[in-house]
Amino acid sequence: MSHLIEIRDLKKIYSAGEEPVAALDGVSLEIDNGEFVAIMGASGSGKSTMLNILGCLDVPTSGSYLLDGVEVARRSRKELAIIRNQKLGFVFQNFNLLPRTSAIENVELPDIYLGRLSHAKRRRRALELLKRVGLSGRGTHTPAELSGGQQQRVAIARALMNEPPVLFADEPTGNLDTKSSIEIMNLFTELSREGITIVMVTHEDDIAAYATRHLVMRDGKLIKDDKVR
Amino acid sequence: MNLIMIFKVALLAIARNKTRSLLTCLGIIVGIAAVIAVLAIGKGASTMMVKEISSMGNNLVMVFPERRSRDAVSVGMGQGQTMTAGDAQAIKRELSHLVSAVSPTVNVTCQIIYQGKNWQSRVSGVSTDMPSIRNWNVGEGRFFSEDEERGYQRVCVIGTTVKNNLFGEDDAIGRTIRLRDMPFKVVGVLESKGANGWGQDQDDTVMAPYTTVGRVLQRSTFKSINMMNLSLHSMDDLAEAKREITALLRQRHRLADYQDDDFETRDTTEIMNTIGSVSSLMTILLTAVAAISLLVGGIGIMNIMLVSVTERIKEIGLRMAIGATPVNILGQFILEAIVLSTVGGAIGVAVGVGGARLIGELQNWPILIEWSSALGAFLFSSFVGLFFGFYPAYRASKLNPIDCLRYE
Repeated sequence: MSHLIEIRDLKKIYSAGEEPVAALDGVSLEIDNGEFVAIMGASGSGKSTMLNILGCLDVPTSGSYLLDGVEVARRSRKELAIIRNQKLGFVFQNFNLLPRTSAIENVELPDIYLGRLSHAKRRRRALELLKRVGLSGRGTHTPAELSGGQQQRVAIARALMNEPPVLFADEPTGNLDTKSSIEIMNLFTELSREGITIVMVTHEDDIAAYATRHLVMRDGKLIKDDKVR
Repeated sequence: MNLIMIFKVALLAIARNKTRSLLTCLGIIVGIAAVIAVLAIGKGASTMMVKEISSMGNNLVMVFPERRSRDAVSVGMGQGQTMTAGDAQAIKRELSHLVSAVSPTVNVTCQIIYQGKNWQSRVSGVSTDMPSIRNWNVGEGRFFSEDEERGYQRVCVIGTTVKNNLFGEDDAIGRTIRLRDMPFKVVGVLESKGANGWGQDQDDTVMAPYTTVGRVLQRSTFKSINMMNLSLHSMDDLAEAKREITALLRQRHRLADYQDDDFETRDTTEIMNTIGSVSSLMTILLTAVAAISLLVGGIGIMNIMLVSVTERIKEIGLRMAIGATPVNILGQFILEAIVLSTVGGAIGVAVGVGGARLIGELQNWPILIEWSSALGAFLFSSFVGLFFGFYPAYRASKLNPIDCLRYE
């Protein structure tokens, strides 16, 4: 059976300075459907580079990356954009919602680019997603009118808009207080149980504890791969 | 993602930043408004002038004695002494199938005295045909008669300006005024015609028989005249009439084939052509000014769009992360620029039309708004948006999503 994500000998080398720096130095791994993976490591360990490449925001210098059985390591910017739009969802540390734009319009955004749904259906789906993340009745609020935890829920709803099989989260609780962090992590756990694959970067152990698998990186290499449950 | 969606995204982005959007448009608004207003005023003025010139007379043709220039020194039009009243009479007699009326014209500027008052004005020696040529009737009294013309009678009709200055409210008919110390009897007062296209007061004039003016005021031994005014039956015959007049005058002046004409014919179409070329020169200049102001406006748009791209770099990163392709981003920013400049153009047209009307109202100037030029300016402003929006949009589309998201 093929894996959802399969990378082989992935390298990312930055040659900005005098010495080329390998942010990723030959990483291979597989992630299966429904896994909740936490990528951990000190800053500079390469975990963010890893997430960027897995999230098709960046391309590796060498190596192969099969997403859903399709090679995506060498694709044009346009093709990568389409892959991100249809197969991947993103949740960022600083939420990245469009300012002065209502929650519901923020959630609708991925389908604006996909154009899969009619206007009415898109709105209905966005409302359903807001309800699912516990924000029914807040659709007309702009980000400035929402708390950090609420903003991150809007971001999660947005990430789910186009029904992607996999969700990438980059320090999703980094800007949140403990209570909101727990709520967000509980939401991730629910989504994971519903079968959505989650790949999350974090440096906090208690956040990583929600995941079912821990990857630890150091100096661009994968040094530990624990299946917790 | 279809065009309507890109359009919607662009509109939302503009609506979110109303003040900045308005400031961005301002250059275009001012540029377009200025052009529309100035064009409207300019066109109004030249149309007015053309109207004035057509009011100069019915199918008017003027014949001047040769404009003499010797060794590049022009003696001035109407200063030659080659044309006589006999020429005018010959034209009337022999070309009556083409020419309906002829008036030889002798112009003298002199002091006009009535009792204690005096006034300087132009005295035109004309024939009895003049009222029909100039389409200018007598308001009070009568025009002088053919008998008076033939008999060298000292009679005259005066314009309203002369009448007001010499007589005020009093009756002028039957009074005697003195032109160069010669007594002339006023038989009529001309209707008021107002100022002509050049601002000259047409009512500041005296008309007397050319015969009398030539003999008594010019004291000329030659029977030369300054010009003739003629009226054609129809302007369609203009070319033929000019040809026949030329042939007749050459014959009368006994010019050999190798000699140049010693006279010159002019008609109002020539004057109108001159005005037309002046006004088209003005249009070219205005268009250049318009182009420059739109260029400046366009640079303003480019400037703001570049700032906007930097300011919204996180938005660009986010949009790319959730699936906006480079073309989507390019389209969004170009459309924003086009919408801004087009809206600016529309507001500019409105402000320009309103401004021109207001100025016309306040200054009592004739205003002519050419909707084709308004439409042109409006469309051009959209093009400006496309042109100047492209570079910032292109820069935005080339951005790397990771760098954008990381940008602080």
